[in-house]
Amino acid sequence: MKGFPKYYTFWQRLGLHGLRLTAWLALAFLMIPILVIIPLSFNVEPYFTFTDGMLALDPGAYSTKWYAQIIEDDKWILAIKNSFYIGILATIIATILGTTAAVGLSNPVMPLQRFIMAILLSPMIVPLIITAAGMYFFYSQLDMTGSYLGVIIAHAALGTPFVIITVNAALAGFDLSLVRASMGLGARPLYTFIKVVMPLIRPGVISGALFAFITSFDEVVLILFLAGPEQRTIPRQMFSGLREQINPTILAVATLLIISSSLMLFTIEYLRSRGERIRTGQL
Amino acid sequence: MTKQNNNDPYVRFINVKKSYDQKNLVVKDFNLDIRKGEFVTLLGPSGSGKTTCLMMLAGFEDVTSGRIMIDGSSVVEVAPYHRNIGMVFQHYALFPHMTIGENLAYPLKVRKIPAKEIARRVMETLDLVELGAFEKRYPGQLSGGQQQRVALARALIFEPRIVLMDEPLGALDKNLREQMQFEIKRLHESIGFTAIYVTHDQTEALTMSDRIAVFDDGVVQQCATPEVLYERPANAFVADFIGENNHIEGTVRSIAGDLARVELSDGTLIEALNINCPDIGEPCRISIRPENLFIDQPAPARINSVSAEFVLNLYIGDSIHYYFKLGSGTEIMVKVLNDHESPKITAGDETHLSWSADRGLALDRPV
Repeated sequence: MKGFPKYYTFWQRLGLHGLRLTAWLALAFLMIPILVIIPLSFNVEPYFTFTDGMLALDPGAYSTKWYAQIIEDDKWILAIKNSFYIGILATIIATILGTTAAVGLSNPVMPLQRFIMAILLSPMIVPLIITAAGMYFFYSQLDMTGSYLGVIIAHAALGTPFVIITVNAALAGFDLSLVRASMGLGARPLYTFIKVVMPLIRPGVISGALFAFITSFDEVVLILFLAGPEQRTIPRQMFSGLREQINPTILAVATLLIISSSLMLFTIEYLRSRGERIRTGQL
Repeated sequence: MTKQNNNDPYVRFINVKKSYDQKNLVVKDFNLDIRKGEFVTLLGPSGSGKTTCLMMLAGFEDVTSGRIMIDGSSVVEVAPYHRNIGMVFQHYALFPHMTIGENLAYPLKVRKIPAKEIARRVMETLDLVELGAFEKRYPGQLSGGQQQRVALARALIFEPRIVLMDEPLGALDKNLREQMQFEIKRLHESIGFTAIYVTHDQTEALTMSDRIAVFDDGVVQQCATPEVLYERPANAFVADFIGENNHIEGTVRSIAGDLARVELSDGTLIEALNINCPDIGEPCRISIRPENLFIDQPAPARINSVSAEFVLNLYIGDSIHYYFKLGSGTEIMVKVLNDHESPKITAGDETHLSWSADRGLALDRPV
């Protein structure tokens, strides 16, 4: 914390301290509900509250048995497998569709850019429950409810707008004369795309893909409507766990999710700043 | 200056027209023949259509009508990546995620040249632009001038038929620009590529080109060597655009072959070369370069003389600019070398300005 400029009055200093305090409180408000889960997941008792032993930091009051239970429970194993299977396939589809859509929309000759963009982003804006209900009736006609394909397509549709947004942002700083330069040097459009456009928008593509994956990973509404017991994912399993048998296994899963999500977020940030450094020549 | 040995046109623009909106023509009936090895500059104010012509030759813009020929065959239907034309962009357009070496190797890799050969040519070309030590650096780590040298090297390394340069020095500061002009000229002399250069900087055009095509409003006003453009501009636009010029308005009194006799508003009769002088009795413009005017030096060879009032002078360094006002209110600038002969006069003095008849050009009056 650097000192204030000398010309600050007492009230300005007080105001700024107040501002800092508010900012820290806001941060705490956002973080505490997430962080509180982590110690609770090590509770030896099957409760969602801190026991006296935990507060006294008694080692006997902590255990990793809820983590062991995840591994022992076939339902959880299936749910974890499903989450990754559905998430990864949906992410691949969403990334390909979103990237090509964003590149196409960035071309100045493309007509109705704004209109098409609005349509492509609508899955993000329309309430999920409406999308889910619509898809349910649509899939019923095609006999696709309770199938992996149906869930993957539905999740891909949810993830695509995120990819479009991040790739579109990456393309905003893209110098179109690079494409001309590449073609002038003898490279065909596809080669140009792979060797010049793609490496430069890659940070956008990757962060879009991660967003798409996270969207699929913690999505529960569409799963409730479209998935059968075979396609249970982690959030779906947690959802039923909360209703049927309340025990801290859910918290153990939640802790794992928090850790994996944070890792992804750090990856995004690392890749983004690395791309930035290459472009500004500080690498 | 012109190369007589090879007079066949290598690049030809034939009746080329370009419109972006199907209503207004950006390029109106452009015709230009360029010989192999020639350095031709398209010069003109921004929006005059010169860059569009370059982009059509490179294949980045379609031709609305007309033909563009390279080496006897039309290229209008050829994709840009098959035209084999090197291009240097104003903002370098180096691939920021590739090192300098990779940037140079790019056109060679596309052409599937063996890796060994690529490595050899990359080093050779880097040495040519004196950047041998920079192979492993990224473009972002280089200065503007260095980046532009890399861009130039990349446009030359695959030995293209033609090298196009679109205001390549526009983003550099003045000193660097002069260095790079020299550099480009040196490379052109040593390699002998055909170059088409676009700029709005007339000094750059004059110093570098074999020929200059002066553009205005989508039309080539004149295409000639730098000397001809400077000394015998075809019309008032070119006279005004290339170098500095003084204008005196007058009325045509008689035309005899090369010479036009013009009466100024105060009744003085002067003689000037007839360039595109309008008919007798019509208003016209006399154009005289500031270095061709003499202050208070009655000499028999210089038959034109007007009286003028001295206003002030500007000390430039190598020269001094003297400003005068004619009776009609027209301002005249005289450029005098800064030597012991530069005249000493004080503001308000009446004096005479004189020039010889072949240094004044009688031109049309632009509307």
